[in-house]
Amino acid sequence: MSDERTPQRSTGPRKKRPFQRRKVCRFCADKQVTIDYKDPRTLRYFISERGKIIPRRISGNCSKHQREITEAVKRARNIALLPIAGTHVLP
Amino acid sequence: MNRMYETIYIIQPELGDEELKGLSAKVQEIISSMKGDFKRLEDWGVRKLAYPINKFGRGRYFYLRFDGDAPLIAELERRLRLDDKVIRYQSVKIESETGAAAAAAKAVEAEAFADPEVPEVAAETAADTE
Repeated sequence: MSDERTPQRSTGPRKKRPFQRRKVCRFCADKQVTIDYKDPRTLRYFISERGKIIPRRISGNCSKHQREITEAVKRARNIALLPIAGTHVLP
Repeated sequence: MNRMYETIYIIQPELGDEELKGLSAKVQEIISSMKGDFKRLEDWGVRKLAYPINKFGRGRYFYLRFDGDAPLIAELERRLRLDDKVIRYQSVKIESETGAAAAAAKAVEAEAFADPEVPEVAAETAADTE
């Protein structure tokens, strides 16, 4: 019995992939929104709580805008507009 | 050949008016002496840094917009590096004039950051829970 069950369990979740809506790049959808490293509010949306850049497969950006986001986030980190890792605390 | 540049530099938060003026004058003097084209200098005010730099938790941001060439950038960055009051700087070459909207957004945020300690902490926790 247990032998039969285990393969079923392993294949089960793989077949049953949850349906995901195809995400649209928000910068392609709205041309008014620009990517600027001086604007941390927009960029905050694309970094995780730990300060990491969210990958394209999750954020839904197109490759062009993801590249721009990446560059902007890195510049913003340089001048302390965005954290490098999570929230730092003063000792 | 002149290109468009913007430089953001962060200086120590607790400085007198004279020192601020002196530094701004120095920057403009560097640009004019190297035949650059000074456009504008914006004071974004004292803001909280996302991470401490040289044990400073906050810093005064300056946004400098100018046209110039490579030797000018080199000289400007050298002078900023030598100045102890400047804790961080970054120069970026830009393709087109931007920033009116961004600067406005900045100003609003800078005002929020300019508040004393307690409201700031409240704002932080609000951001965390979002």
